[in-house]
Amino acid sequence: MFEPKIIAFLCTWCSYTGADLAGTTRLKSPWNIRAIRTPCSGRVSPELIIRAFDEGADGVLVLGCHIGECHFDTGNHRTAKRIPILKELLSFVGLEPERLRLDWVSASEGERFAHITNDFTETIRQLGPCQWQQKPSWRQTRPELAVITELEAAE
Amino acid sequence: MNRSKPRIGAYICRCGTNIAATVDVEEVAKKIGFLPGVVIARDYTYMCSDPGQNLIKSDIKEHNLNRIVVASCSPLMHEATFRHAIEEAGLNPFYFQMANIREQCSWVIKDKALATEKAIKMTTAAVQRIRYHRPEKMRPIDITPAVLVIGGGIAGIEASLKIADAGKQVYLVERESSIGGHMAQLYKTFPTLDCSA
Amino acid sequence: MVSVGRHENIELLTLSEIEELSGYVGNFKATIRQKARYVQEDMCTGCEACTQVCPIEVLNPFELGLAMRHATYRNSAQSTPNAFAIQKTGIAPCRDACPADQRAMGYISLVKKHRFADAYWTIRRENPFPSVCGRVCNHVCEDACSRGEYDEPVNIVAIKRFVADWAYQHRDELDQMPDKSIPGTPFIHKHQPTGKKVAIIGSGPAGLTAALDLVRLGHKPVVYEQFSEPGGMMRVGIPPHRLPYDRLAWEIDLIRREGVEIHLNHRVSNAPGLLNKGFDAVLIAAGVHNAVKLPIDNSDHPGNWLSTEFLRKVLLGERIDLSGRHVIVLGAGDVALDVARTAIRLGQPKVQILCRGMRCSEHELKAAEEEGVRILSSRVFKKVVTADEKIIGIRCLDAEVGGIVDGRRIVREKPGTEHLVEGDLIIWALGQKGDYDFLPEETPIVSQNPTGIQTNNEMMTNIDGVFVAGDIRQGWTSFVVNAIDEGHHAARAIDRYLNAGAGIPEPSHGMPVAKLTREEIELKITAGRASNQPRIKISSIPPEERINNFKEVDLTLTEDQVVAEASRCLECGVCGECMECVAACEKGAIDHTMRDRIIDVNIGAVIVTTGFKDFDPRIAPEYGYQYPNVITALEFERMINPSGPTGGKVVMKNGRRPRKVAIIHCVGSRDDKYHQYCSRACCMYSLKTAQLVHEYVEAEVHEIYRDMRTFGKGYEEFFNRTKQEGVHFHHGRVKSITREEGYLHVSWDEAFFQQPDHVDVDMVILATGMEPQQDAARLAATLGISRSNDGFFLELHPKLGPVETRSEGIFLAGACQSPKDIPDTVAQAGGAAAAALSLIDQGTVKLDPAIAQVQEALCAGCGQCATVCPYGAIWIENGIAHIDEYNCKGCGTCAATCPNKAMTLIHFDDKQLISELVGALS
Repeated sequence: MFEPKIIAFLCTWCSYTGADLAGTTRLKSPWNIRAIRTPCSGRVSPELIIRAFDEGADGVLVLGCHIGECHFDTGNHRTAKRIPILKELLSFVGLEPERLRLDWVSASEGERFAHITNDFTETIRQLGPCQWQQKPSWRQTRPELAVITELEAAE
Repeated sequence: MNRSKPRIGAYICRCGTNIAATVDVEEVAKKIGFLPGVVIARDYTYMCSDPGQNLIKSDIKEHNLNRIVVASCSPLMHEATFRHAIEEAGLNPFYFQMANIREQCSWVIKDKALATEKAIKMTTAAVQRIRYHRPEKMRPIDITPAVLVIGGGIAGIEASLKIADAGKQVYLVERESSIGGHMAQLYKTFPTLDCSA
Repeated sequence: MVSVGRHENIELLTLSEIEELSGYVGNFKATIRQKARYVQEDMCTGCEACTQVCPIEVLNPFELGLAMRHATYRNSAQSTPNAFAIQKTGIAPCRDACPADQRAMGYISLVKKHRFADAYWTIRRENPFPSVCGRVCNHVCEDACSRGEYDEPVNIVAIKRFVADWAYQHRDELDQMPDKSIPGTPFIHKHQPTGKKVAIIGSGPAGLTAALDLVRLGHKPVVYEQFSEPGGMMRVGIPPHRLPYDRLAWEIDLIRREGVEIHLNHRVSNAPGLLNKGFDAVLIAAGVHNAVKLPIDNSDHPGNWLSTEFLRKVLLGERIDLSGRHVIVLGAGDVALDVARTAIRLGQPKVQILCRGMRCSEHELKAAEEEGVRILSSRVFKKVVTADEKIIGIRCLDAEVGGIVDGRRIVREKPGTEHLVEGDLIIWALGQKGDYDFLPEETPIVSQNPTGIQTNNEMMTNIDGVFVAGDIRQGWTSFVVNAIDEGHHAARAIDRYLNAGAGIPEPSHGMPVAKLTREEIELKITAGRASNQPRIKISSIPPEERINNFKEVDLTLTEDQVVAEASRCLECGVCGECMECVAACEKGAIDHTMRDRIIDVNIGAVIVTTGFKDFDPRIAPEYGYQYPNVITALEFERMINPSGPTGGKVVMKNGRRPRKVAIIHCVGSRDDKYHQYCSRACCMYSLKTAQLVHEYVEAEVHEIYRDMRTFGKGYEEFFNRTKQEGVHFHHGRVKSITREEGYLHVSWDEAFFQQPDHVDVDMVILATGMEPQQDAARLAATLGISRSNDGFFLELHPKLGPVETRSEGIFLAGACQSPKDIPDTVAQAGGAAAAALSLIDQGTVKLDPAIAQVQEALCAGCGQCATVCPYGAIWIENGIAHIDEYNCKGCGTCAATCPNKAMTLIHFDDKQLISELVGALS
């Protein structure tokens, strides 16, 4: 069976804590999820998401605080506006918009975290491998972001 | 030192059996050891324990390490502990990265092979990230030596008195016209059956 | 508690709530709103004098509604601070509507308590003419009355009239009663004389109100009246069958006695000239006394009279006999009715009112018709018809009458309907205008178009020192209450003029209007907190007994009636500012002008100790809280407390001692329908309750518990002691409590084998659990802390950080974090205090370096980062973004937004995050 690679951007104040809580309460969540801790879902720029697809992710999950509960007041308001636009752009370039999901998980919602990650992983499994890698790479279009390549060259 | 090439030490915590039961920590250490820049990769029973921290400190000196990755529990729990330890060994505390292979790996995945693979990926992520860490500086700033206590019930009263007795200014904010909260409504309290006011 | 009030390092802010918290660990700034207490905390001695005189009663929330308290309250005699506070939710709609700012709700609440003298002084604070306004007012207060939403407004005018009549009857004793008008008004009674003299032209309501205010401010007012009697329109315009002379004379006499000098039969011919005759200011309050005629044919015939002239002659004692005459009154308002009814009383002539459509008080119209006045409406008149030098009638046309637009009645004449209305005497009552004769031509006072006299905001004319108030300022007639308002306003303006701007300021309430909704009203009435009786109507003497004399037509209410009517008042704003407390307070500690205060404090740490809310068993009907004698444990606490509502007696609704009591555990806790968690304190407090019931109430006690959780030090021993005392314990989960004849039936599931599964008792005590405070979500958002699934505040770590939160510098203690008992709460509070102390005692704190940073070479100064920053920590200067490094909290939204990637977040920059995800995807 196809096992997708999934990047999850987790806000340290809510969903990252929620993910920890899921662990503390031993709720199973898929091994496919690779978490990146960010200070706020507002930090998750479109470049980071695109880059995740670029580097081989089959799905990207952005989990922030519920609206009204953002540790930074309104950081998640920006995320809430940004992600739907990015989804439109993804479908414009021929990628299934379902591969990107924005949801809200508070620090106390370990159960919700487990549910969302399982559900999202299943969705991506159904979609199959992401075809993005065959598209022109960011390494060509935005070379300044291709840091890893530089580093590897230097070494 | 920050100009020099990264010399990374990676430490995989067994956390007793909390991690080791579902993650093959030796395998993780072995795989991580192959990554470019990783000078040393070890596993240990309890990284957060004093011997665990001393292990890092002595490795820093012995192997001239300049970046430390610890794969163990959540950074929300022990990031401060390890930052403090490497600072004591003379390294900037921000040359440190944690991989959460307990709460978000060993505790949530049953299958040992999958858990091990995930632990490798997560530790690799931390190793890759730490190459770009910089020696950040904490910003010291003066503290206002006063405390705001919100709620004048028994907890607020107790906390206020403790702090005020220590000679610090307390602002006790109460919504009602007088303090005491529920306690002021009680007659006698258990287990001593004495009066509450 | 007492030591908190006394501690030099504790600033106690009661009636206060946090509005905003900004800053960062070690350097927070809290914005606190302190609600007005209306009592100076440091001056109040807690002597209770204020609460003893307060007429308002509301349910006492401290006693959980088991008792009442006054609007002036203190939770208990041991309260810290021990100062009283006044509950005020806003200004009552009646007072808000009144031009003269009458505290209607205030005096009505006193009437309810049979305190008529106090009510009289409350009225007199703003109104020197209670007898007048209790009779002839247009009562906009009643239009605004909340009660109108439910049935009919409170009959405020009738209540006021009763109080005024009562005061008149007791006028000899009233002199001995303390005049409590001193503290309430904006005027300081018997102030130091200022030596300033003010001439007032006209002794009507505006002039006399201003005179009284001025004398109370220490000035010397001298009133000039052109007629032989003082009172203006109240005397020469309102006939005594509506307003008896003696009442008005008495009220004017009271004004005189305070030091107002009135010169009668003195017509001033040059108002500004008075400034040269030793007066420091002049107030023109002459009123409008000239009725107008329309220039139609024969309107100059001597058989055309003017309403004002006619009334003035009659009311000043001229004998006029109209018997056998045929009077036509032209007009549609209250003056036309006054004229018609006065005419009737002068020999019962035939009286007809001719108008387009009446615009008057319904009550007056009905009374006039009873007396035989005929109303001929829907007509326009064209000319007065004469024959042989005598008036024979008025030529009229029928008309279609529409509504009133811009103060004018819309009419459409019907051609061809011309007819004659017969009559031999015409009295014009169409309206009045001012007489400006006394204004000399050489110093013209600018009049205002189309009527009245031009003034500035301070009611001063274009001549310095000459003020104008009342009808003459506007140029038309309005009600007595409006004139009183004008008088007050003029007096304050003159005081400011005489004190070069430093005088009495205009009062402002600074409070919202406390209009009640229909639901709130219904709740009050069904709870019996306001009478559900209908409005009491005024009764009158029969027409045949009144048409040949000037006896007052309307009767006053009886004492029982007035108290019943006052009991209909809903007391909208809680405190009605009757000012009784102010008069009672010997320390002068009460200040009704207090306003909410915004206080900013700088602190290094915050401890949240907001506690819990008791579970409300009304949402769990199976526990039978809707039945009498089913009470919560907290209600029991108040009942058994010697200082509580029952003086320490636990009694049933019928006043008898219960003989058998059931205590139900886990109400609202450990129940998927309500709360999953265990509230931790209930088992133990139930055992305590059982002991108290057993010992003090001497009743048989049955405890129905699900699991007995006696985990603390000495707790199990306490349980054993309770068992030994003979309390019955039943394992079970209560499924229902029902009310049977004379007892309550409690039944449960999960009983032990061959153990009872029900019990019949007299009283049930519910061991209700703890819930998060109702506004916990709001406070969490304000402080930037999280809550756990159950709604309590979330600690950093259940074991390693039980008093810390994820927000550094903010600590938790007590039941706001999770339900707990007193020993645990005290322990946690000590822990939180130690944690906060250990933070603030460090002197400095190291802030996380993870904040935004600008790479200036890449920044284009577009400002998008500044737009998205939640803290306003970014600004653009010289085309480049700048960051306030202390206000930046490091969310990174700017870094994600910057199109040039010039904005980065330290330790979370693109290279770091991208390499991390590259590693994760390897």
